[in-house]
Amino acid sequence: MIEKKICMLGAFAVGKTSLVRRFVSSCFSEQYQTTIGVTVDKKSMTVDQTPLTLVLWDLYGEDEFQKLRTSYLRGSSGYLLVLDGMRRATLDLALHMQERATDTLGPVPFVVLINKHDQRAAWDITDRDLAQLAERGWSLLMSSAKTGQGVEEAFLTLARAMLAPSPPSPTAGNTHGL
Amino acid sequence: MAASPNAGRTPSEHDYAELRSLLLAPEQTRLEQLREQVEHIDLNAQNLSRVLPDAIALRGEGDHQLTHVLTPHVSEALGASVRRQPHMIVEAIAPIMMPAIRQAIANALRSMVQSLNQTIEHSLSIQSVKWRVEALRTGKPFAEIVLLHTLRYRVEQVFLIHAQTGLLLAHAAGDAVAVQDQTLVSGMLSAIRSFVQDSFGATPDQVLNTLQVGELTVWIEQGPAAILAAVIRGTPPESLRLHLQDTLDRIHAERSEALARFTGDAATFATVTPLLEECLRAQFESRRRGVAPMTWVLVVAAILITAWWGLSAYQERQRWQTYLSQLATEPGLVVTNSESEGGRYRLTGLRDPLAVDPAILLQDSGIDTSRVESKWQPYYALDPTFLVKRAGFVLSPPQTVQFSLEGSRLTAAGTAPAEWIRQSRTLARALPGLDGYDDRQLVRQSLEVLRLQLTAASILFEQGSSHLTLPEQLQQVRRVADMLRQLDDLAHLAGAAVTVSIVGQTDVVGGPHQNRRLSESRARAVFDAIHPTAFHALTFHTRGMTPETDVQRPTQAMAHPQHRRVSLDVTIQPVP
Repeated sequence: MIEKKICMLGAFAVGKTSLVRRFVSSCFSEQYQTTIGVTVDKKSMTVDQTPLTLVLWDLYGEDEFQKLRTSYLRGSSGYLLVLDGMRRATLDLALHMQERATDTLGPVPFVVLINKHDQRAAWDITDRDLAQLAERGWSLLMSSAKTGQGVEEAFLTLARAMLAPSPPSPTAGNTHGL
Repeated sequence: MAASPNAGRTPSEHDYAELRSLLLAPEQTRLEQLREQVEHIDLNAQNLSRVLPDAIALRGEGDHQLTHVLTPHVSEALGASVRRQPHMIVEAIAPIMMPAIRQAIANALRSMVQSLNQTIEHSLSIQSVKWRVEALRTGKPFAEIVLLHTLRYRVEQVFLIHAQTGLLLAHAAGDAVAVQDQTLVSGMLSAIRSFVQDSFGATPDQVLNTLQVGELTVWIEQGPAAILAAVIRGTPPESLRLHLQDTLDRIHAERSEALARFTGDAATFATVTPLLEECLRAQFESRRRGVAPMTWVLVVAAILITAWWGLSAYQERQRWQTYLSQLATEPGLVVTNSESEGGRYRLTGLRDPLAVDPAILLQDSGIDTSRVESKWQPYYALDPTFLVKRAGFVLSPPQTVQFSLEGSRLTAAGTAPAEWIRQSRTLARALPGLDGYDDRQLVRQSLEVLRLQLTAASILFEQGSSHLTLPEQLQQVRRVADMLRQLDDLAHLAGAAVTVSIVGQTDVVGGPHQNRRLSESRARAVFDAIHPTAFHALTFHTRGMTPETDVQRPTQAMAHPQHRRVSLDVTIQPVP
């Protein structure tokens, strides 16, 4: 059984813990609980007939008071970069965090999740923003921890990228969701 | 193949061909063979068999695709083979499995024996009683309480964690240890280490190496590529840390390549599990060699108390036995049943009312009377002592009567009034245990005493008078009459014939004839005064005696008042 460590990165309250809970336990809670430090969880799955266990490090959300500790990132085979579609500020923070992750981990696969798609009408992030992200060659996915949309797909995409035999590219694959 | 082209050749061409054949024949042949091989390379199994191993090795180095492709087919083929010929797989894996199974059974037996030994060892001590109380109070199993108290330390789990990723490489846990999700534990351990180091570590060397959670301690040894974390219950010795470091060093030395190239597949580290299992050490508190002073005190106290109790019980028993022996020898007491239970005694028996009171004997015995319950039923004892005593009690004889027993026959001796003798004859027949009552001696002696009393009695007269007028005379007459009445009674009881001679006497004054008449008158006067008809068993005679005929009287010239009298002479025929 192959195990891979992946991290959940993003600003505070973008829905990282909710995504993990949706993925691991298939449940969702409207109540917001801030993550202190880090929570480790795991999920076993089969990717293209390869059994795989994802060890999920759900890191606390970064804000102006607490910055990301890069020591938590060490050893990650990939990460999910989560944005809140309703808060554009999370996009800028995500860009910053991606740079720091790349500095720490090197060019490991990652997937960008624009979360809270169930409230698409109230989004602050525009299609133009998404297009700019896509131009970077990043893998983008719309997700909703509440409905489960895109959650399995995001983890599967990241898992496939991590298991790919070729040397890891800066992105996990082609742009999705646009 | 060469003939056909020669058909249309010129001689020079033919020569050239022949020359070429002579010079290059081996090479041409080889060339033809190679051409054949190249043209049929795809379909030739022989050629494929030559390159297949190399091809598989080559592809296997590149990626895992070959493994992924072959896995389902190999699994299916293996399954089909096992189903078809199970004995083949059994024979194949038996050499591998049997030692493992034997080792597992041996380990299980060893654990069981150790547990049993500890249980027996702690089942009889004072401490174990305390622990049993604690087990009852807390609701935990006794074995667990024993383990918690005697355990100095025990390594319950060992994690080998990849330093870079925090992923679990290998894990070992002791028997009966609650194991959590090892993947999550190793991940969180790594996260905590990172947090602590980031927050408090000044240099990269300053890392978290100890966690303390209640009775559990987690020792974390840091290596270049891997971390060894040991979960320990109790207080481990420092030597254990050295062993953990040695183990980690050894793993690094033996598996440095695998650690460096680790990409998430921990299966390659299964071989280090035995090394981790060697770290699952435990040490229990050794039994104290000497005996604690308090134990000695308790033992000595217990011995003294037991000895005191035993001595007291023995003495009490002895006192009881002595009391029973005394009761057994005491006449008039018969113990029918005696039993002792819980320091209390029960006694039932028969008691003659004339026997000594058992309560008095009990008081003298020294036994606590409140612990003795006695029930005595009355009965008549037939012991000689009791027969005599009972006769004296029932018959109430005068003090002049003595009883004696001859066999079971009661004999009375001494003297007694006729009335009592008559009554005692009736009562003596009702006395239990007596075959007869003999009072002949009593009657004889009583008669004799009366006879002597009557013989000694005399009634004095005035000179020359035969009248009984003086008060003294009348008193003497009444006294004689009383004795005669008794004599009559006794004679009647005895069936004896008693003759009473009333003899009158005179002094020397007067003539013989006168004195004879006077003496006869005096005898007659007394005879009349005592009313002889009232005495049925007596025969009376009267006679007078002059001084001359009184042979017993010495010859005296002086008249003496004592000579003027009437006396009695009693003859009993036959003597009973």
